[in-house]
Order: sequence, then C-alpha cells, then structure tokens
Amino acid sequence: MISVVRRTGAVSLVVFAATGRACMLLMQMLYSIPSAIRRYGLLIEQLYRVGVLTLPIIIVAALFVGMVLALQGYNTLVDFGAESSLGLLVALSLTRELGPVLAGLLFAGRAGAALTAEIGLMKATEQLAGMEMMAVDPVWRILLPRFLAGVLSVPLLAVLFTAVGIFGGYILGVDVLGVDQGVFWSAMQQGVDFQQDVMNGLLKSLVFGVLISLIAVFMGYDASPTPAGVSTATTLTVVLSSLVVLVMDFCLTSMMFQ
Amino acid sequence: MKPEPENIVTLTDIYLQRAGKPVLTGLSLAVPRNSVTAVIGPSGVGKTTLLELIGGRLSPDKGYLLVDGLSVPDLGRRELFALRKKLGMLFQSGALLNDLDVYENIAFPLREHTALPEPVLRQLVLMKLELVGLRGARRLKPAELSGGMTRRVALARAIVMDPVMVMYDEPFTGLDPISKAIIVKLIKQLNTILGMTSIVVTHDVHEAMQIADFVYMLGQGKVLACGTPDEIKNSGREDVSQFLQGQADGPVPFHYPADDYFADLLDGSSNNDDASKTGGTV
Repeated sequence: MISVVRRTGAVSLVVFAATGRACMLLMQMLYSIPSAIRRYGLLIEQLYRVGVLTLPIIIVAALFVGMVLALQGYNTLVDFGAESSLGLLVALSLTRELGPVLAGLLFAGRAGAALTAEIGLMKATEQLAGMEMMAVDPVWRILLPRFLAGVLSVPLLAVLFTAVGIFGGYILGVDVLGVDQGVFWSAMQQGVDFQQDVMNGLLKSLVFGVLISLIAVFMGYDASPTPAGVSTATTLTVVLSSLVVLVMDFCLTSMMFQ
Repeated sequence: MKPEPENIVTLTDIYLQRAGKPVLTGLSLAVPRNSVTAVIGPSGVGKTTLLELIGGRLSPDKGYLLVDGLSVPDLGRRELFALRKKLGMLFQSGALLNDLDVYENIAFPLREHTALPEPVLRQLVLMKLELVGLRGARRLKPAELSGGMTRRVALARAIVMDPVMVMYDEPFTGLDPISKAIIVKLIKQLNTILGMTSIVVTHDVHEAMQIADFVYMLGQGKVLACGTPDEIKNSGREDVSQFLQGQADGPVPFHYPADDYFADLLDGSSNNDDASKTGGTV
C-alpha cells in the first residue's frame, strides 16, 4: 500500500515538474513571438512542412468521414421520413465535433510525431547544443516557428476537413442516395448558426492546435538524448495529444453547447 | 589563480556536482591568450564539463569563472549570447545541422548574426572552407562526409565568425591517422594565422603534446599537473605517468568501485541485477 502511494507521489511529481517546464517553455516562446515575426520565412517554411504536407491525409480522411456520416445518417433518418435533414446532420456533426477533433488527432499523428522526433534527434545529435554555442537560441530558431506553424495549421486543417467532409456527405447523400440537392443545402443553411457552430468549432480547433503543438515541441526538447528517449517522446506526443484533444473537446463542448 | 589580462579564461576554486556526484572539486586553471592550451585526463574526469562551464551551458556550484574579463555565471542571457558570439566550439560529433549542406552549415552563424550581402558571405564561407581544405565539398550533406571531413567542416563553422577563442572537445577521437594529422595541423595553423586562443580537451596525449603550449592534466575533479608538455612528461607523479604511458592499472584503478567480489558472488539474491529494474533492454 505504502509503495503504491509512494509510486503515485513520484509519478505525480514527474508530471507536475514536466507541466511546469512546458509552461515555462510556452512563456519563453510567447515572449519571443515579436522577434519571430521579423523572420517570417522560417514560419512559412514550417507552415509548408507541418500544414501543407498534412493536407493529403486530411482530405482523404474527411471525404470518407463525410460519406460514412451521410450513409449512417440517411439509414436512420429515412425510417422517420426525415432524410431532408441529412445535410444539417452532416454539417453540424462536422463543424461542431468531427472537424476539429479528427483534424486534431490526424495532425497529432502525422505532424506532431514528426516534430517531436525531429527536435529530439536534433538534441540527441548535439545540434541544439551547437546552436546555443553559436549564440543562436534554439527555442527561438527551431521550436517557435514549428509551434506557431502548428497553432495556425490546425484551425485551417479543421475548416478544410469540415468542408471536404460536407462535400463527401453531399456526394453520397445527393448523388448516390437521391436526397434532393436543394433540400440538402437549405436545411444546412437554416440549421447551422455561424456564431454558435462555426466559430465555436474554430475556437476548439485553435485550442487543440496550441495544445498539440506545445506537447510536440516540448516532448522533443525535453526528450532524453538517446534513441530510446526520442522514441518514448514521440509515442508520448501522440498518446498525450490524442487524450488532451478528447478531454478538452468534452470540456469545451460542455461550456459552449449547454 | 589570479585573473590577469593576459589570461582569457580564469577558473578559481570551481566546485560542481552532476546527478549528485562531485565532478569538479576545487578546480583552478588559467588559459593564456593566443596560446594552445591542452586539457588532458582520463574519460569522465570532467574535461567536457569544463568546456560547458566556460561556454556558460553549466553554472558552477561554487567558485569564480572569468572568460574574456566577464564572470560567466553572473551573465544575463543577452550578455551570455554576446560572449558566445566571440567563442567557437568544436563538438566531438561535429554537431552539424543535418538538413543543411556544408556551405549552408558554415554560413549559418553569419546568416543568424549578420546582414552581410550574399557575395560577401559567399567569400567568407569559401575562405574558411579553403582553410580546412574542403572548398570542393561545399555542396555535400553532413551524411555524405567522413568523420575527419565532418570535424573539418565543424572547425570551419567554429571559426567563421573570427572568434577570439575556440574550444575543441575531443577533436582527435575516432579519426584515422591522416585525419588526425590534418586536425592537429589545422588547430596549430589556425591559432597562429587567426591570432586566437585554443583550448583542446582530449585524452589523445601524443597529439596534445605535439601542439600545446601549455598542458593541464585533470584528475579527481582538479588539476593534477600543469606546465609545458616537457614539464608534464617529467612531472614524476605516478598518476600522470600512468596516463601518459597508458598503463591499465595504477593510481587510476582498473576496477570500478564495487562491493567485495566473493561476497558478491556468494550473494544468492539476484534482485540487484534484475535487468528490468536497471533499464537494461536493447
């Protein structure tokens, strides 16, 4: 019993200490934002690597998620003669929940893991130490552009996920299942509220972007400089980011859609 | 040791612990300007730690540390970075940026710290590459370089900002005899041509004695012997002779400290050796 308490205490200390270091890193990065704006080329390069290269997986996933939503929604709605609400169901599901959450999870798996591995390897091969000795701050030069690129990319990817998902739902609902095109769009137009649904979805994805990007860069920067350390950090990034996205989604949803 | 203007680095009575173990215990040394100073000693004696202290990557628990007249532990981040612009460091691994080619690696500090026009920057980079004999390798990536070439590129990068002092961390380790000879020649040559100070941390005695004006031998966290290479060779100390002559046993024991051998063998419990508890998986 005592050993369980002791172990829980030890784990809690490690978690709190890591959270503290992550918060300090976040403050350090926020403090450096003005000087990062002057070197916007670094940010654009990372926006390409982190955001643009994530597009294929987002587009393909969104298309299929939209089609599955339409298929499942139609099969349920048609029993009640409510298939005219298919467009609304697909749009609300995607803007409120699936767009931000799935874009966040896919981003964590593709870009988050890559960021952690890259930064962790740079640490293990003394590249970050080398930069420090050349009077170049690695937090400013390496971590910040990647963090900002992640923060900006996730909302954009979530919007794109939602749009492509709706398009997927449209293809299946209208072209395959025969729902009227006008009814599909007008139900969506009437039922989706810009402030309540679209903006809240966007806000969620922004929060996810900040959290995933912070976890990714922190895990890489804080990794033990060994092969096992980098691999553990990469795994932790995906696991923690996914959990944080799902938990935060519940918290934000319960605040936004009471 | 008194801080004197002719000494670029002065360490006085430095104490440092890492992971609860004492690494430096009252270390005092001075590095004269425009000299090649070698710091030798067995592995794990705190030689690299010494460079990390000088570069401000670590702070001593106790003691005074002056570099170019500045107390490094008391410097703020901005002042520390300003000091580092005047220092060069050659890492054992080279620490080249893997995504950049040789040319861009050497141009990196210039691009970060200066606003030089591209033609001027190009000339500076090519001049440094010519000094280390690798002008023709400028478009190679770090992965395409041999160990010796990596060290030479890292050396070119370390001197591209014309530093007042360059620190070399194990510059000869893992190199073939030709590459070793090239690095030895370059350290001596660059020190003279560029009028800078060099601190060479190494356990390669032969090479260190060849180029050093002054040698410090470290052991047990402090300076065991110091002087010119000849003075070190003739110091008469047992621990110094053991290191210089490469004897397996002596004042530096062959065995890592452990419990009594027979008691250990007869001890039936294997709890202390459980690989899963000590993290021993590959």
